[in-house]
Amino acid sequence: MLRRRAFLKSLTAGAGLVLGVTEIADAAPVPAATDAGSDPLWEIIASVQAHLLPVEAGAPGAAQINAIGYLRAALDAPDADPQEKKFLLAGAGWLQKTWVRDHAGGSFDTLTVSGREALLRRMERGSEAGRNWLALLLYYLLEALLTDPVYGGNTREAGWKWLDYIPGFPRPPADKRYFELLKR
Amino acid sequence: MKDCDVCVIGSGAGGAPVAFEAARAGFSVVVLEKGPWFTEKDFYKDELACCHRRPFRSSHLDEPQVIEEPADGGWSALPTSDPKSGHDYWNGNCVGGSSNFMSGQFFRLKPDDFHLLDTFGPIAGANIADWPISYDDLEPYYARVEREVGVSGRVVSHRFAEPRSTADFPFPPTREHVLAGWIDRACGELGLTPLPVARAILPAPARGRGGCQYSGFCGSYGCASGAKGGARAALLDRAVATGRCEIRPHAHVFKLTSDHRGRVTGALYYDREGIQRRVDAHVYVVACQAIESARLLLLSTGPKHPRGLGNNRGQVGRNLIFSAGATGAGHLPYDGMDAGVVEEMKQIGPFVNRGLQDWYHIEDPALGGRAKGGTIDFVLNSPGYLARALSERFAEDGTLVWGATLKRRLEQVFKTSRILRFEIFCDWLPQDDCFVTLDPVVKDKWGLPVARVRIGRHPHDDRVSQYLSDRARPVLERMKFRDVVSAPNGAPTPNLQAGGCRFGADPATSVLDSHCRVHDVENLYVSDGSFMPTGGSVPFTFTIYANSFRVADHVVSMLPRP
Repeated sequence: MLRRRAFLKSLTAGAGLVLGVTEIADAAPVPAATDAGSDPLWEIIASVQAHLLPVEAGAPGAAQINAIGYLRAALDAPDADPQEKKFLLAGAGWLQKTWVRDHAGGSFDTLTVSGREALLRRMERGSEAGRNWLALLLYYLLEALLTDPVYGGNTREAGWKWLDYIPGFPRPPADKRYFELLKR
Repeated sequence: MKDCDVCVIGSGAGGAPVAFEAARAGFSVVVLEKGPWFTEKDFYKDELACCHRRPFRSSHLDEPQVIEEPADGGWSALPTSDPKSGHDYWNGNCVGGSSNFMSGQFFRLKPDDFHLLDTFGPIAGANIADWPISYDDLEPYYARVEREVGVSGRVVSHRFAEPRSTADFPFPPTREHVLAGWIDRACGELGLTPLPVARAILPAPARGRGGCQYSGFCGSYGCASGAKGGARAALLDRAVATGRCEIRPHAHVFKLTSDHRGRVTGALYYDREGIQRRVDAHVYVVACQAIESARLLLLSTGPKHPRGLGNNRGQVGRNLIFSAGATGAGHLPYDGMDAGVVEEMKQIGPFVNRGLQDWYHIEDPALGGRAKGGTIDFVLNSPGYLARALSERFAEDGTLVWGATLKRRLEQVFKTSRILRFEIFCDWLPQDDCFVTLDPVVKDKWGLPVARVRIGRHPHDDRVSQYLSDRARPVLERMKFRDVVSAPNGAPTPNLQAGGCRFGADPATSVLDSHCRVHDVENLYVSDGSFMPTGGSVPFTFTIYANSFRVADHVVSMLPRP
């Protein structure tokens, strides 16, 4: 799994994710159902994405590139590592139940921008698991920003237009997305 | 009754020329390829497919390899299925192999590359051996590759120019980026000789293939027009068109059986459904890329080959080599630049196509006096953004970068300057601690022992690449590029593998004879880069193609006329 491998390679502590999953899992077990029953967790993730890639004039934010839709599709792709989805959802619950409760109170959504920033930085510094969780969210955010819109992100090529990206041609049609090629 | 005359295992640049020439000569050929069969209709400029997912490369979970690296005076081993590994030697597991995804920079070896030991003498700790053939033996095949695979370029005279049987390349150079002219001027001012780099890319439609579409997304990407001279587009499609070449994708060969005389009697493989099948041929040609070719021979034990085919002297897998070298880069800010020049700089599609071989031989006391040098190749940075963007989420101190800070970094990286890179190619000296064996524990999804690869490096290699890097950086600085940096390659080049079954006259120190036939197996050849005792100071692909055409001629000459 290249994305997971690339993600791990980029971290300074190689065994971090393994420890991190355990740490998070202990604090916030993943709900059995991850569809309707887990929507609050996805909402927390979307809020964190919006903080990590904020809306600016002339530069798209997470919602403008459909970052949450992209992430959900990527985590459900046929070749996806189920551990990643489990880890991200568990992390969202952990963020709310441990970090927001202990350090701020209320919910992540009700924090100010500076309050969110302080909390996420504290989470990054205070826990290898938290750092891994944020790094993985950033990984998929950047994929949503820069991959071909056929994968569900980069809405109306907003990420490409912002960064003067010139796509190659021909571009992949839906029936030639990488996971379709995996069936060959 | 045999199934075919020739069974080729592996369909990349090492195997395809044999299939092509045997089929053209009237022989029946079966090509067994582990991966699927993609065509131009499957290749798109999709950065996710290319570089961040694995539709074109084997899964490490299904097919790991175990990599040994130096650690605390010994060796640490980790399977590539472990997320902490970071190694990846799968390069293109599909019909046509990794040549589908090459950049196509084609350099010939120099005559001295065939006789390194004789020319430069021994180096302590290195197993340098001269080739059993000379440049003159291979030259006609370089010319054939230029014609049949399609190589575009322009011959210029220079100190290390290789002798040629033809005046020039059969196809004119591809279109060039404005930076090619800048490099020419800078090199001229520095007293250097910039060389047009030949490419296995058709600049215009020819041979039933499309011409280059100049999308810029070339290296690492499959070619949608057929302009790139990958083995499938250039050779296998034509071989199949003869009606005498059958390609079987999803055919994973796991053993070559052999009889009491030591001859190969069959190629056993698993098909897509996991059903074991067999091909019987007169002649077998292995070309699975160096690591996996050695593994297949080691897996293929038989009554005369109890340690694996061709391994009675314990030579299979030894002296594995890669391409040593370094990479460097600088950036040219758009700020203050004329708007028209900025537009030229931003253009993607045309190639830079420039290299330097002024230091193919060098004189330096730190390198022991007269020494073998190498090649400097200038390349534009990839037009894909994702890999670079992902690295920007980490600050220099390792903390995560997000929010407006991340966005400003992305704007700085992608919108304010043009990046030019250089790559250094020099010999990876063969040595005792770089080899392939079978792992005693780890198995692949078929239950077969996987390749265990020890990656030992000779310190001389980094000294040579440093010497060349020190001479490449001034070229960029002359063009006013800023923050020009370079560093030795931190890991072997997974797409440039060779050795492991070196050819030679003495069976005690080599696996193959001068025709790349296994010394003690009269109907078995290895035709990928495994044969190379030394790799030269250039990318290998042109030489692998040329040698495979040479092997093909021998195979065809040995078969009874159809």
